[in-house]
Amino acid sequence: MSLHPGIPISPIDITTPEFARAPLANFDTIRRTGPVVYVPSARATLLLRRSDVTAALRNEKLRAMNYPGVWSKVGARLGRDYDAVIRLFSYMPFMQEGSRHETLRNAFATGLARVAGGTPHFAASVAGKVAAMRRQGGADIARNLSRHLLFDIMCDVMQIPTDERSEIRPMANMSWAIESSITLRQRDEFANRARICIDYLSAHARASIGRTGPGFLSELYEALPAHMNDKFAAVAMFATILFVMGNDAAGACVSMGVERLLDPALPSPPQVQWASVSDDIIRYAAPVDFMLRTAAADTEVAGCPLAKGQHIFASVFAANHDPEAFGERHLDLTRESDVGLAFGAGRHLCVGRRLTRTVVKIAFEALAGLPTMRLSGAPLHGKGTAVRTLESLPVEFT
Amino acid sequence: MTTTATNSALRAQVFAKVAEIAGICVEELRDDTTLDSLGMDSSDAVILAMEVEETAGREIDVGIFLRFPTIGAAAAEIERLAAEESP
Repeated sequence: MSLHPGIPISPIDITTPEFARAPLANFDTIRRTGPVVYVPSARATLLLRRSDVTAALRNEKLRAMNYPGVWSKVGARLGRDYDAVIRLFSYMPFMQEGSRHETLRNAFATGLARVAGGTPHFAASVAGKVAAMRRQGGADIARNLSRHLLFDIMCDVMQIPTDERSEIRPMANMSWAIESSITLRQRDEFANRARICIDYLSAHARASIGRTGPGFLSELYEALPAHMNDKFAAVAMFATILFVMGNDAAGACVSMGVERLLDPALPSPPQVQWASVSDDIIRYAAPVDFMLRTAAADTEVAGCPLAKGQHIFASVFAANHDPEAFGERHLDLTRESDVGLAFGAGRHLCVGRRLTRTVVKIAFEALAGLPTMRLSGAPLHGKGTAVRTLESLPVEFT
Repeated sequence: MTTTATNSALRAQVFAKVAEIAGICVEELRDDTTLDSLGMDSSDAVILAMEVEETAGREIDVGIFLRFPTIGAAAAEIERLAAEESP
């Protein structure tokens, strides 16, 4: 049953992997019902229209969801130690509000500002991956490039030796862990991986900050409040968050961007010009979707009342393809377009926005130097439904 | 145990778990009882699925209690899926 007489039920369940595999077509289907629908499986109202999504993300009464809450309940009820995950979530700026949100966001932004415009590590890391693709005479854009794109760049920036990355690498493809409907086995897997990654990065931060000169980790450390307990652990949390959330998001922009650019049914710039449309590719892909918010007080969304405690999903993907805002041009890729709402809006605007734009652009600049590509197999989608990724996108050189 | 008996046991396990988590007697539950009416939120629904999985010894889709509005409908779906898996 819908929460409001004026809000119809969504004809499609948006929380399924099937939905995530074809969001363009599925959102078109939902739009035929209306720009605002209720999703019973998520117990949330879904917003699709760009104007409504923008307003919701800027609404001070709509607050971040209590992601750690489910982990706490499950852990307590089923006797699991999810402390590492709950602590990790407590450092994710987009899961916080008030002064903690401000503190974390400022520290994260200050640290990222040092590298967000790119460093020599960026181009070198990407060039290495692309050179390997050239030697092989073909590639899988996801497996050979995007699935560890930001991860390896940031490991280079943080001077983490290549032979020490295997234990922490799995964190780079676990953004699905922020979803509430993951299984117990998946929760256990994520908790275990999080512990390993945080412990490693804490030790690495402790060993390197102050000893290897100024850098990303030092900048993060100095940006954290002096009174904060264990700043090395906090630095490790930020780096882990970059791996968990940033890598999948940036990587998906590249892989889904290539999938779109190589679609023979749609016009695209030539491969050598792909980097010129990298921002529009980010708009088009918008892989981090379904910004979940809870009403902290009675408010209104899209002209409908929302009571305290009720939830909304603001779909930035749907907003970035809103026919009211773009017409049929939403499928086009041009230099003139920007990233749209791919990074959200308001106080929770993604702090990794500039970093992601830089990484995606550098990736497309590197791909421009390869022989002309075409798709050589079907894409394989990742398991996330809120952060959509590709696990495989095979291409061949023509 | 026959498939029918197994599924009846599965249904009983579902209702027992709902009652346990909601803190009420299982006799108070009906097929058309919703989790909302029991004061259970989405995180309780997730926990419920996990606990049913542990008790029943078979994998249960974690979102099943979110997708089906009543405990009767959710239990029926769990039974249906279990029957599909049975030889």
